[in-house]
This record gives sequence, C-alpha cells and structure tokens, in this order.
Amino acid sequence: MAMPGSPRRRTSLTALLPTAGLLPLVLWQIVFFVVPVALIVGLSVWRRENYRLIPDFTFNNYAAILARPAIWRALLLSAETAAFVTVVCAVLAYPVAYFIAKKAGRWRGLLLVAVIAPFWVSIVMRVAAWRLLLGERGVINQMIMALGLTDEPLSFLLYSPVSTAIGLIYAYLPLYVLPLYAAISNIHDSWIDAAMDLNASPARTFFEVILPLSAPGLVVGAVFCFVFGLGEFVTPALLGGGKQLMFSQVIQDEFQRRLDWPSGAAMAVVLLVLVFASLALSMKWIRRASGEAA
Amino acid sequence: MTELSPNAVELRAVSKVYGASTAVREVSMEIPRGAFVTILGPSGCGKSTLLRMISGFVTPSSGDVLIDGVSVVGAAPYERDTAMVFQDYALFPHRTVAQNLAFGLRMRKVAKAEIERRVEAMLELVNLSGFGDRRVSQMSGGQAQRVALGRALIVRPAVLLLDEPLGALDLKLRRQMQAELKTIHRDLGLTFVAVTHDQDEALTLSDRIAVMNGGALEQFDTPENLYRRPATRFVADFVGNANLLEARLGADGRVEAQGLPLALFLTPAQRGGRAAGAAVALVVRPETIAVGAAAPESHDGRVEARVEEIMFSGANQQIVGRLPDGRRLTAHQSAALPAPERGANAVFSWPSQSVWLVDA
Repeated sequence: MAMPGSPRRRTSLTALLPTAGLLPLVLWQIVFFVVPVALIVGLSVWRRENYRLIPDFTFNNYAAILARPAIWRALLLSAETAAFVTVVCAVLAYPVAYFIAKKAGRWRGLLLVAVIAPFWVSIVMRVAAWRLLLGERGVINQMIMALGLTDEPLSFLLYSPVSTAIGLIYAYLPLYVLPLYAAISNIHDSWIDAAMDLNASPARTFFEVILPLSAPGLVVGAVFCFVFGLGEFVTPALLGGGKQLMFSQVIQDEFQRRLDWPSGAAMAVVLLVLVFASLALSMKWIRRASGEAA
Repeated sequence: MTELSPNAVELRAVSKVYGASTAVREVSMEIPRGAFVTILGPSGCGKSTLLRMISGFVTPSSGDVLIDGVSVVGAAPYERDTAMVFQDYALFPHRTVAQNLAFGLRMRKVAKAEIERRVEAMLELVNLSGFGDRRVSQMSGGQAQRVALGRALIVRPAVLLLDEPLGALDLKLRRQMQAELKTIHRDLGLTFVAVTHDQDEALTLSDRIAVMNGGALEQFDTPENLYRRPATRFVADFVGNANLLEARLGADGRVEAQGLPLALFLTPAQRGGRAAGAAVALVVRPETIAVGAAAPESHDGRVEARVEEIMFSGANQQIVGRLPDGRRLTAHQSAALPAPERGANAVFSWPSQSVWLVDA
C-alpha cells in the first residue's frame, strides 16, 4: 500500500509542509519562553544553603515569601497600580478610539500611526523624559508655581506611586486605544442609526448599543494594561523612587541584592500564575461572548 | 391635534445640497395617511436621501418636512415618530430577537407587561413565534428581514420607512415577502414609505409611486397611471419596458413618426394639450404590439420590420424587430401565438388607443 511516491504518501507530505512553516515560531517559543519559564519554576523548588543553590523539591520558598508582609504590600501596590492604570487608560482611550474609528474619516490612518508612534522610541527614553516633566524643578511644577497655584513644588509628582502610575498610563494608552479602535470600527453605523431611529437619545444609544458592543475591545485592552502593569519593571524603577516597591522590583531585589534565587523564582512564579489567571478569565469571557454571537 | 392633516408626511420643496452637487432638488409630495408609497429611481437619484430627510438623519438644505401636519425640520431622529427598516436590517447583534423587538418600546418607556404582550403579538404577526430567545445572528436572511420589520412596526410609528427592504433577499423570498408586506400594511393601516430601485417591487407593493431622477421628482402617481400615462420620457423608459419612437404632432391629431408610415389618430387626452408641431416620443408598450400573423386588421399603428431575435420565456415570447432606419422595436406576445420567422420581414402592429405621448 504505502509505496514510495504513492498518492497517499504525497498528500501527507503536502499536509506536513504548512506545519513545517510553523517550526521557527515553535522553536522561538520553546527557546525563549518554555525553557526560561521551566528554569524559573524548577529553581523555585530548590533550596539555598550558604549562598549555594541545592537541587531539591520543596515548597518552603513559597511558604517563606508568602509569610513576608513586604511581599504582600508590593503585590497589593502592583495590583492597585495596574488596576488604577487600567481604568484611567480605558477612560482616556475610549474617546480617542471612538473618534478615530467613527469620526476621523480620511485622517484615520494618520491618527492610528500617531497612536503607535511612541513605540518607535525606547521605553527607557520616554520614561526618562517624564522625569523632566514631573521633577521638583520640572516643567509641570514650574508652571503650577508660575501660575501661583502653590508656593512649593509638588513633591509627590516624581519618585512616588503617582509618578509610576502617570508613566504607565502614558506607556499603555496606545495598547488600550488599538483594541478599542478595532472593536468600535466593527460597530455598524446603521446599528447606531437604528437605536436613534427607535427613539433612543444619544446617551441611551451609547449605553444600550455602543458601549456593550465595545466590550471585546474594553476587555482586551484591560488585559493588556493590567497584565503588563502587574509585572512592569522599567517604569517603577525609573519613576517610582524606590521607597514603595512594586512586585517586579521586589523580585529583582531578591535576585540581585539578596541573591536568594529560589525565593525570587518563587515570586516570579506567583506573578506568572496571577497573569495566567487573569488571561484565562478574559479568554473565557471573550470565548463566551463570541460563542454566543456565532 | 394630529388629525388636522390628512397627510402622514408632507414634503414642501425639499432640497439637499452637498457642496457642489444637489442630491435632492425641490421635491414636493403629499403622502396620505395609511398609504403605501414607494420612492423609485436608479441608484444615486436621491431617493435614499429623501427617506433620510423624513427619518431625520439628513437635514434638508431648504424646504419643509411635515409629519402629521407638524414641521419636523430640526427635530432629531429620536424625536420623530418614524421607524425605519434598514437596508442591512441593522439588528442589534448583542440582543435576542425579542430584545430587538422590545427596544423601541423600552425607549418609549412603555410598561414592562405591555412590552411583553406586544413583543409576543409581533412575533406572531411576523411569523416568528418561538424565535424570541434566538440570537439575531442565528436568523436567516428572510427571518432577519422579519425581525427588522417587526422592530419598526411594534412602535406603531406615524410613518414606517423602508430602505430597500427586500434588496438582500433572493427572488423567490422577495416575492413572498412582498405579499406579506402588503398584507401587513393592509391589516395594520399604517403609512409605509419604501425606497427601491426595483420597479416590479414598486408596482406590486404601492398605492402610489414617486419616480425620481437626478434628485428631482419626475412623477408621483398610481402604478397604473405611471405605466399607462407616464409624465416624462424618463418615467416611460424606467417603469416597465417601452418602445420610444421619436415623432412630431401633426394637425388634426395625426402623428408623423420620422419616416415611418404611421397613420395614428390620437384623442385630445392622449395629446395632452400639445400644439401641432410639438416634438414628442410615442410610448408603445411591448405587450400592446402584435407581430406577423398575429397582427389584427383593427390595429391602426402598423410598420414593417425585420425580425432579428425571438426569445422564448415560457408563457411569453419577446420579438425584437429592426426598422429600416435601424431603430429597434420590441414586442411581447403570448407564446401560444404563431412566432414569425427570424430574419424575415413581419408586420408589427398596435392600436392607437394604447399609445401615449411624452415630450421628446
């Protein structure tokens, strides 16, 4: 039956070709995602004696880090900051995305490029620029003082959770605009017209039709912002000031200053689990929403 | 107070200008309450703009729009007692069929129990009982069309507007929906204003048809008058098929049809007050023409033409003849009648009573 060059064999070969095209992607994922994560997970169950790593299978590292109040404070700060940033980004991104999707007309392409443009500059440079704006003698404080709104510069603007939040909102806004733009462009004008035609005021039309149909974009954008915000390192490191640490900073501290790699790895795994949990929740929601629509 | 005007909709010299182009030009029209009016015209003739001026999505550049005798220019769509069946149905995808139907009633703050009752009744009216909990994406084209119709009907609007309502359906379904639409219109007694480019649909559905061309209203009349007594050459050509023969009015009711040996005598009604010497076009409908052996002696319009094409379509045959000067003449006659021979000369004849004149 399976003679060389028989039609059957040839079909299975042609069927394999597209799969072979996936190979680079699979390799990339294995080398740069699966292996490092596996290493971290493995490391998190080892133990440390006299600054030496000893292979083991223990959950003591987890018990130890979860018993440290500082860990919980950092985790809470990260979650709070990520949630706050997510909500503010949603509120700021919505009108922008709506305008680009529905009102911009021929300017749409240009505006989308403008939304993406910040990504062409390194995040470190962009965040550093915020220092010039937020510092005690920064542009914003000097302006406020020149206007006579306050006698002393506002010190909480830089090196505080506030400045971290400002930096993150700035960094993540495009990430929220894009999925929202995609969702809002999928809303037919005739649906909006139909609501108005059936005596829904513009406000009613927004809450009855436009907002519910933007939900996929809102969820995807929220996942981006929250997940990235939860694990963000660069922005809090540059703007946060180091007095109140976010979770990613605590992990870094554990690896580099305390040299406790197994504990650091356990923290990283905790963060990973939280991220996967929020991803799974949103995927479930999206699948249910689109499943119902299909 | 609304009973003062017998017209559900009245347009007074409405125009819509977009920059350099005029979409609608000085259209005046009175749509009686309870009528089924169709606005008919080729694409780009301004018919959709006209409909959107009634619904409030387009504000006229000049002129007035009255609904139930009250001017609504300046009133937003959600302030008007109109409901529209959109061309793409525009059903809310995140709502069930029943929720789509209930939408307009909820916006009009109708009591919950009343909404439920009316939704149930509407599902029955549009033949969708039991489909209330379905997602609209699960509906077929015909079903979606009924949901769209029901969603607009349920608010009992002063005017129901239909934008190419059956355009997306296949021919068979369209015929069926036409019949249903007509029944629903008769049963509910609401005013329907539809827009279509399909003249068959317009002729079948409407009490009155407004034919538009290039933004202007050409004729607003009953389907029969439109067909038998078209006001303009455009109407004669657009509504149904017509042979248009250039001619000049002679004295005492005679017609001289540019080199054709025609001996037609027209009544004053047919002449329509035109003076002798007026340039006109004779409108001769294909079904009034008999060919060859089927041409009776009593027909006073007679020309000879070479039979160029015979197309058989079941009950009928379409015969295309070419006159000596190159003009073509099309006749429709029953397939039961003897067919002439292709390539041979045959007499094409019609009675002068069936002829109508339009300005050339």
